[in-house]
Amino acid sequence: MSATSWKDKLNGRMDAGWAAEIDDFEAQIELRKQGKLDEKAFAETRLRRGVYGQRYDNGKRYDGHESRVLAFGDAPGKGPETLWDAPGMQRIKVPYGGLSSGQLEVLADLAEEYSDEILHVTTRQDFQLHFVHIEDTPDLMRRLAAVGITTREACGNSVRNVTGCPLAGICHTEAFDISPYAQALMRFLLGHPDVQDFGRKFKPAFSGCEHEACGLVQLHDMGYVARVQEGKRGFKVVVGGGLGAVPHQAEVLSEFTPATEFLLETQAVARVFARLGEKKNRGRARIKFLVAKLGIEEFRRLVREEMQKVPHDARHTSFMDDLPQTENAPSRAAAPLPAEEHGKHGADFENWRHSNAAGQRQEGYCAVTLNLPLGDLTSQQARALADIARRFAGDNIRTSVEQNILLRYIAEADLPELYEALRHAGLAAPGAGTIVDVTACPGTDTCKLGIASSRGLAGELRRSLAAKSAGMDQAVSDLRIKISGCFNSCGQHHIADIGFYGNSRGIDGRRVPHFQVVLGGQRSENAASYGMAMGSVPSRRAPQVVDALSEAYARTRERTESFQQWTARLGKREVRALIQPFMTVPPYAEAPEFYVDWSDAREFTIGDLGIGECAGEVVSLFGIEVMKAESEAFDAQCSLEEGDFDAGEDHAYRAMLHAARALVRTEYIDISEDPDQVVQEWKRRFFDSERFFDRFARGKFGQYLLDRHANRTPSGERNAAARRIEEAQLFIEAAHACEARLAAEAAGQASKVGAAAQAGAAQQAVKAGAAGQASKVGAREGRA
Amino acid sequence: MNPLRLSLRFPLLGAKEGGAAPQPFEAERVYAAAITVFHRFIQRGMVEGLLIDVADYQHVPQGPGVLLVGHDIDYGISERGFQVVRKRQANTPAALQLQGALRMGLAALRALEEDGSLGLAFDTTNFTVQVYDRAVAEPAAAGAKALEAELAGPLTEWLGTGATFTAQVEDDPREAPALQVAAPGLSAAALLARLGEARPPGQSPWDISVEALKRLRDTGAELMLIDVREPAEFETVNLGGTLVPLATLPEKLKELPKQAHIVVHCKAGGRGARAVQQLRDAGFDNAWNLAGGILAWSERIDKALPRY
Repeated sequence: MSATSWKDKLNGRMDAGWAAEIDDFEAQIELRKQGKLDEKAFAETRLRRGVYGQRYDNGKRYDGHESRVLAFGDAPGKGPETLWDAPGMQRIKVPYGGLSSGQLEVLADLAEEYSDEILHVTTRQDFQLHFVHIEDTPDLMRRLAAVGITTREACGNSVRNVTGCPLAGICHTEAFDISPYAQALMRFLLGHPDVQDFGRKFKPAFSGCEHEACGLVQLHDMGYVARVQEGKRGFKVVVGGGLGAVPHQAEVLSEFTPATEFLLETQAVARVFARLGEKKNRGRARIKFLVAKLGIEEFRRLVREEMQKVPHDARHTSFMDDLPQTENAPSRAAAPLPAEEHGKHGADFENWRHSNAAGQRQEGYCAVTLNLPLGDLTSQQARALADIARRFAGDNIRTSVEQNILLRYIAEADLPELYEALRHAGLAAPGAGTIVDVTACPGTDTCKLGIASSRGLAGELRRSLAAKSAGMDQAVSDLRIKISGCFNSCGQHHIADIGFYGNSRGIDGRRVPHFQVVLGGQRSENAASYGMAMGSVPSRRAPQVVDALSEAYARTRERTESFQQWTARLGKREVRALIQPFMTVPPYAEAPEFYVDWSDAREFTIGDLGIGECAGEVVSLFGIEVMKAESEAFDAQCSLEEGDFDAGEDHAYRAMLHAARALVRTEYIDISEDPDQVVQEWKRRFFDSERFFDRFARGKFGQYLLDRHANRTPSGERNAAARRIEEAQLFIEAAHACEARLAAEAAGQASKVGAAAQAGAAQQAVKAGAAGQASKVGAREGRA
Repeated sequence: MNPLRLSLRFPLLGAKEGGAAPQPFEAERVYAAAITVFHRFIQRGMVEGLLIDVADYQHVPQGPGVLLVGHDIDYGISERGFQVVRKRQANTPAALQLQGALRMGLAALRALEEDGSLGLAFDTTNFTVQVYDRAVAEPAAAGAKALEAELAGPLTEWLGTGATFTAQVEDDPREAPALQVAAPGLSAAALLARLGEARPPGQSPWDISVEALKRLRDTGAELMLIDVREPAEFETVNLGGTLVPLATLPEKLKELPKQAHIVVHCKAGGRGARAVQQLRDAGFDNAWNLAGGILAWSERIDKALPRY
């Protein structure tokens, strides 16, 4: 035990290439610390190693009363507006979600030593650790590398984690086990020169079959569905899917690509994307935009052409001779649960078994799902789980996109014993895959982009729904809820039965956390259709919305009608009427809790900039006009539903016009309704001045209006119309955000003026003291 | 040994009210209160450390509960007790880290107790010390023995010779080493005094220390400092507050904004205590008295200030 540095301790136990890369990264950290490396270049370097920023890392935080400085010191930043000492998030790639017990034990140690003893499973089968200091990351990476895990390209504009169905190898409907192919693709692309020059990230996914949801290939940049043709293995390959602000369904690139060609084909896609994909405008840089722009035929032609040009590489086919080992032998011999034991282990066991255990293709074995609350488990639990996996599950653990963990090859006869072991570790929550198994992205807890508290709402729903689950209608119990903290859809709200994404509204002169209700998404068929926004409700009422929708569904559904079919049959207007009663917000004086988000005690604000929430008369003017925009956006969805795509697009365009006019009216009340004049004034005042831009998306949402205004030709096609309606909704959100920023600026100026006027006479107060406080409070009172 | 992280955990004593029998842990109520009180700690700089945010893990069974996450220390409340994790002190020997963790942890417990909203008490005479750093600390039983060898000396110095140490015997080689410390009859206040965190006797139920005021000022908090001394005293020395002699406070009340974050101070804290009582009675929910007044400030923060 003489060596005390991980570098020395693990010397020789890491892949030499990986070890050298980590050493380089450590050297870059040192150089950046000394200010010898460019800030932006360093930021991209660290992102490519999975070292992310985290909320408040600009050193500012709203504490419920005011924006405060977090005194992190003045070392050079980790990136633009990213302070060195501010904690960040470390993402850890887990290809196809497959882990061994030994790997999980290392993750447990890392969470305890570098994070807050919480391991978080993401919606892309990764693990994330939060509150990690950048100087701890090289050792963290070494310890992972020593057990064959890399964080390389876990973030940044490159190939992200290769996901795969967690039932691969044991599933009843799959063509074959995709796990070794997912692993092969990951190894082939990791650090490959052809994937280093993307304008944006690239997410691949594998599915063993067409019809289930597990792989979700339709919402990925590139997806592979296992197929066997004439006895040969291969894939149906799709490309250009993606959620994000504007979701796209992937298109079929090839109905069948033999396994011996799929690496070559993927490399060709990467080269085409790197060459022709958008680089400057991040908002249009995902491959979905390139595929949409070129059309799938042209894209396919380019890929075929490129495949001819790709230099010969033995690795394209050599992996077939030595497919990566992805499956360990079961721990126990297959055995059914003896008939005399049925019903002997209590109602809790039976309840858990019903929802969390499912038979495998292999007789006598089943797969057991650990319903992790919000995707979290502790280091202690992870160690207990490692023991359990060794004992019962062949040392094999899989994470899932539902933020759960699967244990496979559990002998059915072992279920009672396994249940006891899991219960002891606090890992036996029932209800996997049911309404209580809520998925949520990190949201305002730790994400810089979060608007509302997705995890706070998820925790609340989990608690309240679990309490009601006993007498719940089976159809309701089977519903899925997914929540994102903003429109970016990391919580995959587009494919939930009931989806939510966070936004905010100005009410009573303050900001109120809201969630947009998204209904009608479909998970099956690998996520074949996306839900649509139905209306925004205050966060506090979101649980009531779930109750109202599920109650109405249970009461009025026709026999086997799915939730999607039910909402489609009712129609948007009727579904909206169910939500309508929950869209109102009581005044602050009556119900101040509406102005505080779930799992928080601070009065709500948008962003971490600590924008003071003030607004004058402009609120009412803006509010009235923007309501017209919301109602046009809703009409757009109704038209789409009725199959009138052109009318849908027209409503969507008008919705953006109203939102733009709402902003213009805050400064120029007599603006006409003439579209040319509205767009011209809005562009001059808000777009060209970049006042409409947000810190992250920049002018992306504003461009939607300019594009539509310049070209009014309808696409005449459902998917494109749906996208344009989605864009209009985002434009409205951006208008809300812009108005909030402007109001805050105006209020800030008012308080400065007030302070200056009194400065001469007043006693000098502490910092921005008494005078500023008085005028700020005065402004608020004046508004009430 | 200079570990990356050192943890200190005080177990739950049971609910404070209701006599001897500990009440069940009312998770939902306790965690809601913990979230509120931790945010308040950040707002008012009531505990030590560069405080960042509150993390809610109440959904995780056997988990860390609700955390107040800082740059150099985390505070946590859960069914497992009250935990402090000292971090980012890797150039400091474990004994000194422990000293800091004890001081900060006990002071935070005192602040929690004074706040009162949690309705829980923690056992400060029994606690567990762990180090989380597998590069420098052996795990499990062997590591626990090493921990005892290194920490028993300094701990005895602070806790008295009555303190006993039990190195963890459970031998899971993956677990961080743990040292159980028992100091029956130990007074937390006396220990805090020994660790340099003595507190002047409470002057009002709404005291704020000079250190906390300093932290608030350093982080640019928007607060109104009101000096309730007489004009002649103000001329002698002042902290830049607004002069409102105590006798004139009642007539000034209606001019002050109700929601303002107010700190009042006098020479030594007595008049301030009366002033804060008047403010609180008038509905100022965020008004505080600077404990020890300007004298304490000149003793502990700015020694250059003249005393009178």
